[in-house]
Amino acid sequence: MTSETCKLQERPSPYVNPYLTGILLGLVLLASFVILGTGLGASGGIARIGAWFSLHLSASHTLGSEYFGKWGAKPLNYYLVFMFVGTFAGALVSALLNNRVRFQVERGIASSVSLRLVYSIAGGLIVGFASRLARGCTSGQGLTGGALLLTGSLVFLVCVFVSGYATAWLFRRQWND
Amino acid sequence: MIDTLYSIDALGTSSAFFLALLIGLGFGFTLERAGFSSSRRLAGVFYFTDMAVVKVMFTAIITAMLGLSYLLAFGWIWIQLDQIFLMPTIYGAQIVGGLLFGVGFAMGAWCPGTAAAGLAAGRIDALVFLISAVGGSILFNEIFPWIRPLYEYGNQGVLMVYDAVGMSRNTFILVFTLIAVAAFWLSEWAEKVRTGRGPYLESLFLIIFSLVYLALAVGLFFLTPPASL
Repeated sequence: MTSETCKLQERPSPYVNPYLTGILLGLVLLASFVILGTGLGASGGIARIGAWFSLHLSASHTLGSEYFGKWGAKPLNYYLVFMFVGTFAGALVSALLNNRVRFQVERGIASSVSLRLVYSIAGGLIVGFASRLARGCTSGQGLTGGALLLTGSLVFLVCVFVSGYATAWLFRRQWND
Repeated sequence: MIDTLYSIDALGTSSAFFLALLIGLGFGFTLERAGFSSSRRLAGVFYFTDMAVVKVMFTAIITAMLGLSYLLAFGWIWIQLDQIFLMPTIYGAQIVGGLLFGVGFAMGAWCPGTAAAGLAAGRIDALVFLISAVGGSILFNEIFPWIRPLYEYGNQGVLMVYDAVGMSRNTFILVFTLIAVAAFWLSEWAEKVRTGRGPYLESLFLIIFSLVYLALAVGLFFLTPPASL
């Protein structure tokens, strides 16, 4: 094998047709409706991990708190925690098959690692908080509630993109090449 | 008729956990396949350089919406809407939550599901985003007593969007499908303008794809009279 073909094999696969992938995602969501009777969710699993962590910091405080308290002493015993683990594992299979695993801080070539990390940390904090307030994220409200034609979910989705487009210009430097 | 796990109150059982894990596998696999394990690709939607988020998400929504509507049309055989958990509409929480979420999404270029995919693809920015999102959930719990009025402000209960705007279900579905198709063509056009590449713009694939979905939306009128839903 020449070094040329070796290099070709190391390259990540190009992205496939987004519409066909969208159909596949829609069918996964439909399967979730029919089997579970609920849609897809991701932030719910993250919040349960938060409650578990909070329990380990202070059990009495967490169990007595108004929001995490009602999830009890074993917050990880919840279907969305398992769905979140599945999401990670399913993505790992596809990333390995398509040779897209890269241990990196993804950013623009001319942008600094620290800027990208600061934005990731701040963005994560806001998204984690906002998902609890809205009772779901782009999966649980956007995809799921959107497909179910629920008013609040569609209002949420419109608001996400309105404020995303309104503010993205401020954060553009992290993608500078 | 199918009994969903939600309808028989079995979401807390170990078999539900196992099925949720399997559905999660499919979810993560398609997210990564769509290229959503890359924060740069996700962020592209906000700068009109890569509109995959709009194309994949909108296709998934109308696919599940139409698929479910066809199953509901044969409700006595398949499934009825009361077997699915319908989230309430709470305007205050969902408007403020959505506006905040959008800022975080534009900043971090991840959302909870895609960050799990990004972590699987080795992205360090996805890892710190997820740790932070856990922190954001804990913060929410800590200040919940103060935020509670907003969390419950404008509660409408379960409110279907076609009832909210005063349309029949089938009419709204047709309008929504038209909006999605328009969004696909606009996305392709925006990419072409911004990057010079628009492989699907005016392609035979996109024309057929658009027509098939519009036909599916129109087809519902023949199955379910508007008054029945």
